[in-house]
Amino acid sequence: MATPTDKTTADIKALVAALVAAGDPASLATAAKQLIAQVEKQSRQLNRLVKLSDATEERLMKTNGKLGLLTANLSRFVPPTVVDRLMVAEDLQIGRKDRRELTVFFSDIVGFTAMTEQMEPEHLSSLLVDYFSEMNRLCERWGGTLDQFIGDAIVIFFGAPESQGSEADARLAVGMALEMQDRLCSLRVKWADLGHSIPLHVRIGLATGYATVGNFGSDRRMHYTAIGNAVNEAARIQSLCEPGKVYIGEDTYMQVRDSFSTTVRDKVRLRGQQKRVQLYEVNLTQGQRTDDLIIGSGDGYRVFVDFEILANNEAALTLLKKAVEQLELTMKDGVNSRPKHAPDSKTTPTMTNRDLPKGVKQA
Amino acid sequence: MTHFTIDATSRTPSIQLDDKAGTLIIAGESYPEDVRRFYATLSEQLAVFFSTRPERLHVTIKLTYFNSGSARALMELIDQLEDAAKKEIEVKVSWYCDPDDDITREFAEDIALDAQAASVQILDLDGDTDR
Repeated sequence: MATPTDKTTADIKALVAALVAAGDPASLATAAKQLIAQVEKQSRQLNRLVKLSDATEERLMKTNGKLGLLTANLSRFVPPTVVDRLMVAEDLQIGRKDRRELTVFFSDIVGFTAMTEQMEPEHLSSLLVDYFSEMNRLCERWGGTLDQFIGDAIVIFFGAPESQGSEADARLAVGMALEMQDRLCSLRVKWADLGHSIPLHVRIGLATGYATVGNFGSDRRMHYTAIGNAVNEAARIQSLCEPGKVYIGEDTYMQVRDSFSTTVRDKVRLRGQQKRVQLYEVNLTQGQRTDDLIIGSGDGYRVFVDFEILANNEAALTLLKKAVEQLELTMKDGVNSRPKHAPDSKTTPTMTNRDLPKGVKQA
Repeated sequence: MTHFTIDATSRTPSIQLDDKAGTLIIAGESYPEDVRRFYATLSEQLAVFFSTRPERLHVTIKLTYFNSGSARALMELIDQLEDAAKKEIEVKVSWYCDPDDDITREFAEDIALDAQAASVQILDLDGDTDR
């Protein structure tokens, strides 16, 4: 089958053949003229295609730029994990709802109403922006799906749209909650330095259970969220939590009990449930311990030891010994015995993605 | 041959060649997987049509998008129409472009310069206004 390109090539070949076969000067001149005209035409066509291709590329780059901006802006309203899904989802998938086992995180600021009355609106606004931004950053780092901000409350869930398995999801949720409380310790110091006189403390509750997850709402406006008992349970556990602590329900405890140290708290009856539910406090200062990992943090310290990686790391051993010795001295003699200089940076271990628990991104 | 038709797909335009009415309509979007094969079929059908020595052919092009492969095929189509016009077949091309699409319009205007015997008019896709 002849194609347009074949035809053009055939035309030029025929003209070259005519040129070669031309017996007299007049025929030669005619053949040469025709060949030149054909080559010129081809050159014009080529230039048009290049021009068209350049213009199309420019338009594509502009469209890509707009798409990038749209995605970046959209990610500020919708969880990034949901944005990733929306980029590839067909219409039918957008309305789909799934039954999933989730670990739901619910946090609330202690005494927020009093804060709104006592603080200047602009101070409160800047404090909240700082607080929500930091919590949001930690949520993304641990792979959670930020469901919504309800006033001063934050709802996050693990297990949808992506799941690492229910046990790992629960571990990630609790790990995130601990890091949030830890981060709030540093933020309180920062906020006090900035002149915010009222310290911001947060209650955190987590619950694990089945929920329906998907885009709820109307055809024109939807919200990716979770609906189910686990969400209500997390909110209720949060309300029973002491300020600055992390409380979990029984189902979450069953998933993370081998990874985190906990303290038994009250047994309570949650709304709509006959049986009483045992609450546990996840210990902030005793750290997370598994066979090959110790993670712990609190005011003035942060520990992350991965024995698998540090099997033959003399520098790490020296540093840890030095830290323990110095801590013992400090506890015995008071704060004046602390080292005058920071540890040598060459021997200070730094965190990399390899160091972080599976599923956690480097800050 | 009385009527040659190709239905539009998401990647290819609809093509209707009516030999009795002396009309050819190409409409839709054009970025076929095998662009050479797609337009070669049209070229063959046109060659058969012109071999019947028709008096005239009115071509209507309403392409909202075409890729560079299709652009090349369109240039070859205009060449084929120009060759037919040189053989005293009255060929008129009405090329409709989106008024907001400067790229397509400039390309069509540029191609029109090559047509001497055939008449090529560039029109607005919405208002069908000559420009």
